[in-house]
Amino acid sequence: MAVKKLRSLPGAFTFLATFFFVNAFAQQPRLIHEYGSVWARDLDPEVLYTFTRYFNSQTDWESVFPIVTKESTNGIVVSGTYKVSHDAVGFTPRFPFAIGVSYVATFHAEQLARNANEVYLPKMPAETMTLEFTLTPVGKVPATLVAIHPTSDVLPENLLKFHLTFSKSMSLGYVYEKVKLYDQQNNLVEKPFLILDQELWDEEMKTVTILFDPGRIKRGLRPNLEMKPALKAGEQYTLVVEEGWKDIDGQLTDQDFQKTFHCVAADRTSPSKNFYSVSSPQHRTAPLMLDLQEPHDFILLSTGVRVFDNLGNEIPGTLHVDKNDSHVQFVPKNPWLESRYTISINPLLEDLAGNNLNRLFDEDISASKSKDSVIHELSFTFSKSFH
Amino acid sequence: MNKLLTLLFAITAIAAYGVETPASRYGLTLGKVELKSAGALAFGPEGILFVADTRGGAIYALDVKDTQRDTSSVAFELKSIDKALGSFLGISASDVVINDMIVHAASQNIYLSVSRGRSADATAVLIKVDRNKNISEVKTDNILFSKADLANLPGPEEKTRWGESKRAMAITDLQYYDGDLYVAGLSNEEFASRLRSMKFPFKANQSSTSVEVFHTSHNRYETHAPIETMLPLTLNNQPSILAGYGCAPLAKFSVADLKSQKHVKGATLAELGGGSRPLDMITYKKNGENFVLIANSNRTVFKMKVSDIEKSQPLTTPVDGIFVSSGTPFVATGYIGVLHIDNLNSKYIAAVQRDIETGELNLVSITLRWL
Repeated sequence: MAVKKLRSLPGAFTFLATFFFVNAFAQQPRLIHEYGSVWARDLDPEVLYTFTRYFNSQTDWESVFPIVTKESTNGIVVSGTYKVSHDAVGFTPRFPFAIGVSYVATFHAEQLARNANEVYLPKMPAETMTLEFTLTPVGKVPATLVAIHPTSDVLPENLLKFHLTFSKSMSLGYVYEKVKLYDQQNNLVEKPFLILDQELWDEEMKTVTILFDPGRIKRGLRPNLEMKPALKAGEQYTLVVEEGWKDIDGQLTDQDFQKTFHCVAADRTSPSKNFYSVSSPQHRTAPLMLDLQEPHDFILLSTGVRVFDNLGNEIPGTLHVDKNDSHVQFVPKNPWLESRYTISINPLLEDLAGNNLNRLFDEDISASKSKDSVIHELSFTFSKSFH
Repeated sequence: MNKLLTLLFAITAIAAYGVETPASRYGLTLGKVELKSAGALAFGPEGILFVADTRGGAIYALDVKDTQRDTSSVAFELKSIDKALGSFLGISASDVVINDMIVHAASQNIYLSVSRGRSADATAVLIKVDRNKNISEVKTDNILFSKADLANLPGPEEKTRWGESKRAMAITDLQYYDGDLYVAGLSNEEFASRLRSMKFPFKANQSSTSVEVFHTSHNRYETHAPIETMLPLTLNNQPSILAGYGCAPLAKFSVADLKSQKHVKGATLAELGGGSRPLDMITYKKNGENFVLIANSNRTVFKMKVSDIEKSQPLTTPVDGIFVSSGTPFVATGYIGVLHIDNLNSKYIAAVQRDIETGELNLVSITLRWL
């Protein structure tokens, strides 16, 4: 077994190459993997030329020079294209070779020779060549968990979501296996989360949202009656994100992350702008502060507040969520003018239990009707003379 | 003379407007489609394939130009489809994610929406498996298509757009019915179940109607859970949508209500038994009787008579145990591990099935003889 380092490759992948080829001629045909392609080099140009004159389709080359994944059992070859030059044939996969996958490239030189022989050429002195290679990741630091929202360590028993944010893009298929909830006696809480085929990741795949099983939160539904809510007021819980979650570089996280929180009574009140308090900016470039009095859903809050001038033009700026997701700062791009401003609030903004400004997460329809939407706005006036 | 005039008129009309093609009928244009993800699939009119791209926030209508015709009624099987796709895509079988499977009715070719890998750099691939077990990629770099954007569509209650959304969306199912495409799903921003419907052909600045659907449980609490799988179906002569929910009520909605109302209440007709999720539903006909077939995450495949669904009354009392079912009667068939189903031909149903003994993922046929 030959181990060779390809320094010229971006990322300096190490590959393991295994050769099973014996040839007595000086210029030995050989199989190599370089620059994301596999090459059969130093072939007899005459044999190659003749072969390509008569047999040059994709299927012909797939039978002479198949590349498969090592675990494949049904002979399906890796999709890609073949390129023939003077004395070589190259295979470039449709999708780049992946880290951690073992590939087997086989070059049936005898088949090439036999086909050519049927025309006029002497047998090409070659047997079957095989190359096995695996790309392995090198020198990358595995991902870490950088935030769990809500950040508060006091959470309602009808909590709806957790958002986990990692330092790097992550892989699908781990969330229901790696995220566990334990009670204060360190017993595993069974089936607390809603299992979805499609996991809820942001575009970069750094933040994933986990929903508590709504059937167990909503009153009156069978899972709620049978299994009870996953969380119980007065108890302490620990959310554990176990190690071994694969990141974009194929590295596994190498440590557990956890968040311990205390559970309090269910939140069955909609957030309301009536409780929000606005602190006008202290000077022309100071942020506008909005205190929401209770933690809100981080994802919604981080885009859910906008500011407009008295002509209805939106004020450009950035929104920062802090104080356990219960407070936002709006930093204007340009200094405030002496004017009246309106703060517009997304009516879908939710508290931690999924109650939004318009309605409760589990509404008792015998007691109330869904309210029609209203515009949720607050206003303030910036005046230099105040400060 | 009249005939001559008609002929002349026809020739003039063809000369003026050209021969109508699916592309012109459905407003498709030639170009490159870059799928960021490939999820739920549905066939529309004339073999147009709808693909939900949740990461790209769009639904595409693609003319896959499948002109093969196969009227045979034989079975089809491709064992270890995950390993076969793994090799074709050059990755390990465990990194192959089959998001949906659908059969092209006329050609009996099987289409799969596949994710090559599980990370942010995973590539979305549409795969065609033909009757000779040839696997090929449906290339989208030069294809007749149209697109409906889903990203940042304001809901009916929202007065403003909410800018750069951090919305992560999951489209759980797509169904085309009589000129409308129904889109079920949820997002990380909004748990409430919205059923969007959009007219096809898509128009420029395609709008979608977003209906909030819920069903009542024991007539007290609204349930805004997302629909996992749905099926357009005529029930008691009324166009309806049968919707399967996790854990695991089955509800029906009237299409007329969906078209006219903002909040639509469905009737829960059956509880399929807690601790399970319906994964896919189809209808089939046997000996003059219509049936619904339901693939289920933690149960065997269920079959129901459409006539029994039509007779079902909304459930008003809870079942007396977590795994207990009630409502519309069904037969739990002997097929287990079935993840996706679609009608293959007059005698078989195509299925993606996990063999529970070997763990193999297979593309198989289920005979209607036993269903």
